[in-house]
Amino acid sequence: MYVTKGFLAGLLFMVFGGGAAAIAFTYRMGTATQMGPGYFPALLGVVVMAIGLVMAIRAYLSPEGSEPAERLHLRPMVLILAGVVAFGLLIRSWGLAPAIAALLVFGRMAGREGGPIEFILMLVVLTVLPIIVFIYGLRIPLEIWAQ
Amino acid sequence: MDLFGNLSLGFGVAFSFDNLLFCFVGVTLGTFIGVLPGVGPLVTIALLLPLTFSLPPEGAMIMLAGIYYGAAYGGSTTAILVNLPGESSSVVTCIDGYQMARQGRAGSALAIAAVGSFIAGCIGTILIALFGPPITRLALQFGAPEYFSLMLMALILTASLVRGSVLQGIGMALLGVMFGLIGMDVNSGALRYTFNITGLADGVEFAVVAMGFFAFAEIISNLEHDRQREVFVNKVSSLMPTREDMRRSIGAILRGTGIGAFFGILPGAGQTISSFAAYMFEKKVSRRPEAFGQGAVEGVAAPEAANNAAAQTAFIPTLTLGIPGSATMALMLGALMIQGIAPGPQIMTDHPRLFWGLIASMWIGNALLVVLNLPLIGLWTRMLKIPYRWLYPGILVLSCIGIFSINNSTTDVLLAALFGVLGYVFMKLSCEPAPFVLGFILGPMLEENFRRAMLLSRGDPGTFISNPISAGFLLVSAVVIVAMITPSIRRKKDLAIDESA
Repeated sequence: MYVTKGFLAGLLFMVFGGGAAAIAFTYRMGTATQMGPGYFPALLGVVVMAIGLVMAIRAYLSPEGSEPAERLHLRPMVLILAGVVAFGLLIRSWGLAPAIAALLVFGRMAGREGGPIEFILMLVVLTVLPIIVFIYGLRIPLEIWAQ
Repeated sequence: MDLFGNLSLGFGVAFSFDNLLFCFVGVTLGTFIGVLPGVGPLVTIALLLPLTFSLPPEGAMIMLAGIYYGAAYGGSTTAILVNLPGESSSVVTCIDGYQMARQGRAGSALAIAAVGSFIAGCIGTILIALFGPPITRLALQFGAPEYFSLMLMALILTASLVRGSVLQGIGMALLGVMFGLIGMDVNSGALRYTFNITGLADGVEFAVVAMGFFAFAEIISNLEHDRQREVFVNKVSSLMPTREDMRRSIGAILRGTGIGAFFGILPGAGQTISSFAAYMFEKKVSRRPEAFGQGAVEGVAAPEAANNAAAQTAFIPTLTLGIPGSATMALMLGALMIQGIAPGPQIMTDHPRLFWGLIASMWIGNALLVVLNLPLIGLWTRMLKIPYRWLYPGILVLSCIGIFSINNSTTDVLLAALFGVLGYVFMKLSCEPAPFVLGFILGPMLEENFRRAMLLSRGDPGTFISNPISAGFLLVSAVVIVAMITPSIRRKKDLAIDESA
């Protein structure tokens, strides 16, 4: 199977590079002397796409050169993502404490270890401690419970 | 003499109560972090970046620097006692250090590691003080083409010296540059790649990328498998090294320092490679190479000295040229930028207090490390037993609060989550983040200098080659690329990096 790390990485580069170059070409190019905003990113995008192409071709032609791609473990990835997103969405509208709680709940689901008492303890410690350190100590303007 | 004047300015700054406190906090935190497996200095510095915003620039840098070389130092404790490197550069210390511990000589190993690191740190600091100003003076004469080539060289060197193919490394670096271009183009005022998201108008915040790649992605990766880790800690008896040990170590320490100082300056995996190189070199020049691997004290002294020396000299290109040689140094630069200090050779002339204060405090920090570490060994070993399930929620909370506090922006937090996923994908594909981070930081400056160089040369790209210094940098880049492509050298590099992984 040719789905090696090198192949996928090459594809990724091609997508990023190609996409960036395509967008860059819609910006004003200018000339080499007077570069517009699109010049440099377009240049880079093309180079990255070319690199990606070479990598993909190389990996395709000799798959032994690269290792097979490792499995993405979706569970921790999605849960941590959800947790951080939850934090981001909640902190403004609901305040710091709910945001931390949401983050920790998702984090706990991602980790699956430890008992409920431990979790409650962690919730308390990791809410109180940051409140003391950040809000009172460093005086960062954060609301604990937003109205 | 200029040097003494500068140093006295520096010590004046470093010995202020606040800065001493920051130094102390920094090295303590750093050692603590260095001891904990699963949490590295990269994550810590990324975590603390947003918070240093509220600190004065000297204090912030002093503390971050303390964390950095403190962690280089603290990783050796776990390496010796538990055969677990707390830091990638301490892997080599495990080899003989753990053997010494099993022979009941843990105290000696720890003491030698501490003393060796201290000596190396002092010499490293002296090197910075000595070579900083002349390099800076040289760099101030650089024009746009030289800067561009210098930055390109730094990117290429870093891309070549990390694990994986050179092509991939360069691709990552350029990808990082492109992400760094997101936001408003200073020259034309045009918004690039912002997709009408207001939060992106100023570009992606550096801490967001750092947090995503080094904190979130790392956590996701660590949570893949439920881990049970048995930690058996060797008893530490006396901390005094024998006279014999000291005698054998002194040469190793000096040689290790030299190697570390050299590799630390080079962009790329300076610290890890330097400790490995120092070990191999020591083994080669030793009269009893067979003792290595069985508890040879030189096997601890040399790599420890090397990695601490490298940690110090890594600051040279970062502070004098504004070119970071590693992801950690890029974070340091990021911290400077958060403080509103533009990186580059003008740092020394525009902010002498910061520059010399930082250097002086490195010396203080190294002294503090020796004083701190040895008595607190018991504490550190107890820290080893903290299970990861306690650590990662703390890291999550700390990162999220930190990111949000930069701009009070939800967009930043969401972006960090995205970078976390991206970072995780990169990890799965074995794409190294270090070149990306460097590219990200250098991106705007790279474009700026490219633009200016082309403007000055009226559209002639040959200006990069007709200019001797610029040509020199490009030549080095080309040589390195070719070297890394050559199968034999490439194999040696991969071997070295894999051994230290």
